[in-house]
Amino acid sequence: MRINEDMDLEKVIDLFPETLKVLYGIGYTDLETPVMRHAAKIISVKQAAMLMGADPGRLVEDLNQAIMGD
Amino acid sequence: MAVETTHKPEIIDSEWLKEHLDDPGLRIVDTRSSYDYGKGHVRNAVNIELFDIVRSWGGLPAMCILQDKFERLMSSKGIDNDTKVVAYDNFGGLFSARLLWTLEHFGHKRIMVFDGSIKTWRDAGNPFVSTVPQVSATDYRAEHNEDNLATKEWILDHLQDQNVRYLDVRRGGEYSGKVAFGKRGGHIPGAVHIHWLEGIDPKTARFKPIDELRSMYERNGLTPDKEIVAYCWMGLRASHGYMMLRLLGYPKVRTYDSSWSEWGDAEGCAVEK
Repeated sequence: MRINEDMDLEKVIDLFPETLKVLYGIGYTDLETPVMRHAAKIISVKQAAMLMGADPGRLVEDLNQAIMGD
Repeated sequence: MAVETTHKPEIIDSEWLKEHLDDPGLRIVDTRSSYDYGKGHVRNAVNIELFDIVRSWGGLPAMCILQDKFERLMSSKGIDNDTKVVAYDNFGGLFSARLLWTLEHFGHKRIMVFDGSIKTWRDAGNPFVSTVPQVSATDYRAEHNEDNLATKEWILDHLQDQNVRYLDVRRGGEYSGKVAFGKRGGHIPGAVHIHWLEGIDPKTARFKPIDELRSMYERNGLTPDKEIVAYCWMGLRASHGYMMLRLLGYPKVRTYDSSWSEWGDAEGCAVEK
């Protein structure tokens, strides 16, 4: 399974908690807290990137690398 | 009909914030989670997170805080009725927006919103500390402003009103009914759809230029002469829609606090797909 930019951020975190370190790197430093987990329900991977001014394509690649164990 | 609001909240940037960090009449509010606040925040900022200003009520997940609790919260954060409140977050203004709506709901008039993610402030080397400021308690007095709140009953009374427009800020699938949280999917009849993130520049995470925002809303029939009701699923994203319109100076805007979590399940509430 590959992560794509349209997936819900919350779903990505639930399925692949190892992606938290990538998300931390672009500025999501508190996604383990209730407030941010709540917020993660309403955005996609692409939107998560744009909220931090990050490149969505690059974020998708980094997330997939993280779940591949690189 | 709502009484027109003559004041409007303002947008501020890093430069402005840097110059006003120590202003005595200003209270900077970090609206991120307490966890994130604890790891570092703008100097002199206090923390008010989402769950400080919402409550569960009637099975609905995030309704507006009660007046007496709001007064105590503001007082404990050193905010009085004349304080300029500057709100920031790291989520496109989503959490700041909820604070802004709540403040306006309780009659607060001096509100400013930081443009962009506070991450850009931190990354630029601006003052970012873990010290919690000592503030003096105030005697905050709130006044209910029912004119920025829409209820199910109010909407049912105004569904045919040509001076009222409905703004759905949820995802496209929620609007179309493909995705349903609750008993029914779809939208309030006649509602226009503008996703809440449409107002944010994806390259900078800042608000899009004012002229571009104004044009986006106006070409969808959301003009300042209309009364506009923003809604989503539980009122959080709706508050962002509310904030964007208020930042543009729209005088008559409401948030449907219960939003689709109520409308989608309620008998007698028409749904369009």
